[in-house]
Amino acid sequence: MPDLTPEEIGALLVSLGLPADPTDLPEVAHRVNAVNEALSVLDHPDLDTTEPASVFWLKEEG
Amino acid sequence: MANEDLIHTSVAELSALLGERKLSPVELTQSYLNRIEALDDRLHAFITIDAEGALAAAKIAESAIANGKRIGPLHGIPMAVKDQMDARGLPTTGGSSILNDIATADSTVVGRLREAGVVLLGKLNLSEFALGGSIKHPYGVPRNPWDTDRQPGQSSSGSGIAVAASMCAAAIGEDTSGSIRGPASWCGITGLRPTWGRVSRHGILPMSWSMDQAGPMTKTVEDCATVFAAIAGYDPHDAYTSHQPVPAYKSLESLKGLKIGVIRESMGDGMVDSEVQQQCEEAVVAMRQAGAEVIEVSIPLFPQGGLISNGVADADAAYVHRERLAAHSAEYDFATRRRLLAASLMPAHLYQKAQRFRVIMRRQVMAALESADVLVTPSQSQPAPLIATDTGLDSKDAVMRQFFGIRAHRGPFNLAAVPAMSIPCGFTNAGLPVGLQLVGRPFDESTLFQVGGAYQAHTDWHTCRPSL
Repeated sequence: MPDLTPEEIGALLVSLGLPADPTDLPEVAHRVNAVNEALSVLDHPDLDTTEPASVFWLKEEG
Repeated sequence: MANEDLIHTSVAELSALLGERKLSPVELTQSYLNRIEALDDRLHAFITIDAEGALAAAKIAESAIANGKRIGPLHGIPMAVKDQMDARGLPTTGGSSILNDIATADSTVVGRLREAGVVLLGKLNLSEFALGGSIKHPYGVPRNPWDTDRQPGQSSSGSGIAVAASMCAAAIGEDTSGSIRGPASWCGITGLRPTWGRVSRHGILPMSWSMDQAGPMTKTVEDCATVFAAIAGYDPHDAYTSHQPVPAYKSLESLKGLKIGVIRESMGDGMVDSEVQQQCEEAVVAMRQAGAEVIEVSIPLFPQGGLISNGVADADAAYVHRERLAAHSAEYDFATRRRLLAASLMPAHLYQKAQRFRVIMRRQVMAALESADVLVTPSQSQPAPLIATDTGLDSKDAVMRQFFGIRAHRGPFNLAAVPAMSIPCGFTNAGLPVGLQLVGRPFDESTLFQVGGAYQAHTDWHTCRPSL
């Protein structure tokens, strides 16, 4: 995924009704770009056959 | 022993004295209140101190014990809880200047402590809304009792400080991505993140619905087991609490017959500070000497634990905060605000991907727990750093350095929903505590207590106290 600029981040935040203080935007952009890049490159052979889950014990206890 | 010295002892020792009526709950409570008054201006462990309520509860406990109506081992024990949990009649701030409502009912955890006869001293400081990473603290910057220029760990900072500095006999923290185990490690105390589903979330400010879990923070493993037994168990107010019975604590003299699995990926260059690694390796040697068989296990996804855990938890938190963030953005700490804003922009497909990796992480953790009864890793990759005045996140690489590899050690286990406990295992040359993390099978806190208890029977790190 391409890195987003602070200006693009600001526009996205405004579109969600969230504050876009110019002093926040560079750091928010670094945070967004880091997570997007790190998660995008993460891979595993079982990824597409693994269904997401959050609560494990319910299934295990029946 | 004078009451002023007794406050440094364990819950077990205090409980024995209270049960034998050799110690007054009122005098003990007053001793802790004196200690809080003497230290809190420096350490900022407490947000709310309820001296009047605590002394009233202590008088009731004293009368009940005198009349032969002792409830159990926590009756008359002064404790405090992270100010993320409601306690009737007291404000719940979440460590934020935005909230200050007086709770009209107890959270389940606080209610169960009261039922056990606990004397509630007050509410403890924390990172804003329990996110971790706060720079500004409206109720005072929490300071590590071992070196007040350093961080006590986040987000259950006040809980870690208060126990380490003997400002309460035991505390309750909350751990979403490491917020009990981290402060426990840096403050040199014992802290348990129970199996997710063990302890009710009712009446606790949420961050990530599928990972938030309250747990005990104490001086010893035995105390941890005692407090855990009081707060754990099914609660009709939390649909995701389990009916699994909470077994009583049984100590072990020897670790013979138990397998300890050292996670290969948790050690080595780039993953852990060399002094921290050395202390943890020496702890494993002590466990071997206590009779355990030590093996090496692998969790290949381990280094990604911080990334995946933060990915899931932060996106969940962004949902929780969406309306408050829009209405009160300027009142948030700038670091909290920026973290939540970034998480608000996580693409749906990456959130889905993080959730799938959570399942893969769970499989890898469970496979390791088939080879070993308990896994061990350092609780934190480094000793307590200096208190920060800025986030330092001036580039994408800085975010990756700060949030991913070095935050890997606790994330895999909150993702996998298994119990994990930090116990003190030594000090750096600078005198900063180091914690060893013990990880168990789901709902098998008992084995963690047995291994941790046996380790503490053979070592004395848990008896060390900071000079204040």
